Amino acid sequence: MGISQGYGKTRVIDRFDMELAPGVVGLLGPNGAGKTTLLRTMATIMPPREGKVVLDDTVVDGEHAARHARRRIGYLPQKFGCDPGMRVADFVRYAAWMRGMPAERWDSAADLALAQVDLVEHRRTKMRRLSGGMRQRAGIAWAIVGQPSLVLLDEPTVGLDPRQRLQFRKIVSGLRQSVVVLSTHLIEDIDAICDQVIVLHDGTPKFTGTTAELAALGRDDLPGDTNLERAYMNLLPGEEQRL
Amino acid sequence: MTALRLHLRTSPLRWILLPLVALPLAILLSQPGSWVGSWPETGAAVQLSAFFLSVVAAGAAAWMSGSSSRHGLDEQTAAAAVPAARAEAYRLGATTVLLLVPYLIAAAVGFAFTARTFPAGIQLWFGYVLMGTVVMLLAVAWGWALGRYFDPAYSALIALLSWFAFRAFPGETVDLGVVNGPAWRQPDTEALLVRFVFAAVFLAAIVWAPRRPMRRRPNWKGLVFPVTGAAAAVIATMTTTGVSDRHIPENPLCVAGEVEMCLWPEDSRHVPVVEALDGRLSTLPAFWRLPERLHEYGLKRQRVSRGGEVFSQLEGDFRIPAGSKWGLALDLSNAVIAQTLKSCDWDSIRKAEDFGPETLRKWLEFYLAESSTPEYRTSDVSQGMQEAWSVASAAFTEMSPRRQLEWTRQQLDRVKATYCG
Repeated sequence: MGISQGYGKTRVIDRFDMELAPGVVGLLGPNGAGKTTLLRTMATIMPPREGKVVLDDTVVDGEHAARHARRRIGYLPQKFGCDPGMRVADFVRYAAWMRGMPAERWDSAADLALAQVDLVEHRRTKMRRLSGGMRQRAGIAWAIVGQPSLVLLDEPTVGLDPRQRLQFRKIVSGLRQSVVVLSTHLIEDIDAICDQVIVLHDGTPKFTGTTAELAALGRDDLPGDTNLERAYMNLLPGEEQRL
Repeated sequence: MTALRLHLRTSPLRWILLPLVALPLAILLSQPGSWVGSWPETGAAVQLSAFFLSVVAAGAAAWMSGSSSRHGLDEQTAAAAVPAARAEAYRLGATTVLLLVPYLIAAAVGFAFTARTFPAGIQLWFGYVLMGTVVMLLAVAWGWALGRYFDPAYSALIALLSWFAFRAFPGETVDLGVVNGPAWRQPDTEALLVRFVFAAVFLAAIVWAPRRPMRRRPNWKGLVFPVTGAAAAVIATMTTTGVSDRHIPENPLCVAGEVEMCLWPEDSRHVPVVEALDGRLSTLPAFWRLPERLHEYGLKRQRVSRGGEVFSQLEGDFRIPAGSKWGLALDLSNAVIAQTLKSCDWDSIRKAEDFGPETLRKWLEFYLAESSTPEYRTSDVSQGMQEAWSVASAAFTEMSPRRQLEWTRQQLDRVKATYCG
């Protein structure tokens, strides 16, 4: 049946039904397509109006199950928060605590997460002193601490310069043992790191498949510099008019 | 590392911990040092620190209450495996500890000063420290409750000002704090423990109450929990007495001398001044009649009937406020005059507006204190009284000691001849 989600009388996600395998899944779509709402639903922040989220063969049904599931979900909102006076290592330890990890694992889990995002040298740096790229990497460390089976990253590359985006792609590529859902506007990010792509429009998936399969939908008569961009335009004809 | 320690390590309050510690210490140490050497006075002295620190604590707690939202952590908290109430309980717990520690440090510093002589009555110090702890808990709870439901920019200011207003006015009428700790008063430990429990209930009610939903108006129904908790804490405070009169001790500290003077055991630090003034009493000629024994205030009781109700009222012959020899000299001079002119008709003295006895009493006060410049001030003194004091001062400063005694004998003879059958 799939999950449906909305705010008030507005339906934002309409019967989204998909099984995700380990690897990086790109969630592509225009503003208002429902990407953030879908991620929040998968993060169990919003219970779906219809349907159910199933994580590792366990149905997430009710607050107790959701809390249990959150131990295995790493979620990085688009505008994630932090105490600017907090040191990077404490920020990640705090995430480990919020993930419900036992205290004896906080240090090792934080160290591993910081190593994965290449921030070990900055573990004692205060969050306010980090550059935009480093702050975003600290956010990813927040999401991946404790190696959750589902990592949800909402537009994590917004505001990063090209070098920082390359670094980000390298980090995300190293997380393939988990299901990583990456919401983005940037087709080049999808091309570089995603194994699977979901193109979302008005709350419904317009395409699901590999990047190669998506690229094959590109037509030369459509605007765009790459086959993926032309395919995106092909799937979402309204976007062409917005160019 | 425990969750509480993690929250303590990461709390923004740690950046202002030094000023928070300095504030109550500065207030404690800027007070006259008369509290040193008395456990109840030491405990009471730190209550002034608690007064001001609790005002800061209310504002800081309101600010901290909104810190998670202010730092944009609501979304991450909503996605956490740890229940939101537990997450808030740890933040509130760390905030409470960090705001309580400065008060307890000030209390410990006070303890260290008085512990050097270690007089009797340490339980009174514990009672007063508990009193301040309750104040701090209530302030934190109040601030946190406001910060939880209202914008942090306003809630911190509102919490700070409202707590100050409460402490400055109704708070004082219910013994939420004290400004001094005389030996004849005691913190009511049972009542304070009741207050402590209800302050803790208030804190717990806040954490259990529904949180304000993100991007929505405050959940007014959710206020029922903290308001009930606050009401319970207020009722517990209003219906209990923070301090009460003490029972007369079985073995008061009596200093033998020309006059035996009995003190509260907690006031043993006053023995030197008592002995010094008793030494002066022993130099008075025999025409001065001395009482056999005097009691510090509170060591005597009088049954009083008022409105059909009989109750016990504290009585005493002298006080030694802040260890002042002038306070004792004033009370001793009154006691000696009363004894010397015991058989006199005081109504006639008052009707005649004869200030002779007052002149003699004032001279006696100067004589006992060995000075004519009291360290206290008086106001609204009648013309006749002022003239009497001037005469006494002139006699004390201008006459030789021998002449003074002769002059006092003549004055006494005149008063006795006129008013004493």
